Amino acid sequence: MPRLFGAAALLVALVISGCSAGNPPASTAALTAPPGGVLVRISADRLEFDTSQLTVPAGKPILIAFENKESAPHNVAVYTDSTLAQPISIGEVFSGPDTKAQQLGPLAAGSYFFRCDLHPNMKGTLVAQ
Amino acid sequence: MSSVTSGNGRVIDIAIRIGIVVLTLTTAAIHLSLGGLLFTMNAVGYAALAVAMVAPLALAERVRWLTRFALLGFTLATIIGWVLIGPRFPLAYTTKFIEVGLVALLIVEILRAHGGPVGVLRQLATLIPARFRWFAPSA
Repeated sequence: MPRLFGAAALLVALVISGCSAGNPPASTAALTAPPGGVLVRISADRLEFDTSQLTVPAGKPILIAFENKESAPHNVAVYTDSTLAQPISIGEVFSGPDTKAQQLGPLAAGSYFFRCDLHPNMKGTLVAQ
Repeated sequence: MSSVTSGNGRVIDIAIRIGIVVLTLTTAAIHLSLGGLLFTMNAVGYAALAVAMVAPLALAERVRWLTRFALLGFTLATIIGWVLIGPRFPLAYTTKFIEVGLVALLIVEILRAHGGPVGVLRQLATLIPARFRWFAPSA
């Protein structure tokens, strides 16, 4: 049995190191707003978004620059409301430190809901006005 | 693992148990890496059951059959939970693949330990109080 414990511990250590080995951070500066649209930045660290409210112009294309600063994987998922019945844009889940761009089509004026699909406590409101 | 105790059967039993523990600890480590209370609790549950599967203690050995069923139920609950509300991303699919393999190994070990489906039912029947056991297979 001690051998079994040893082999299992080694495997777990390998998996953890593989999961936590993040990619080098991408340059957020390289991301630019889409033509006629806006670039919105949001980041995640310590299982929290850096903001609980995003404001964007209504009727214009939006590019979300999402920076995940930690090894825990996150995404930004935008829904019409907190019932999650109608997704608008589901961002890729990725581990940090890394930054990914996410397109968000022109939105009608109103209030929307965003969250991390893995960690539902990470959430906020996106206001198009 | 009382039904097969010698020769190749013993080797197979050990290999199956090692597979179960390795897959359990692997999925525990993956869940731990995801962060958040739910994933951490899931990881702790898997780790505790993995330890219970191999702990060389008299009490743990006596209830090993129950531990197998607990781990099987825990794994199935995790898979079903993900199917219902879990996020879809590559690591999640990898984890579910591992968990399906874990379920398969657990079923094999359970069947080998109890000598087949009837033996499994008889063992499970011991969980039912005697006065309600009239409909269950006799032990």
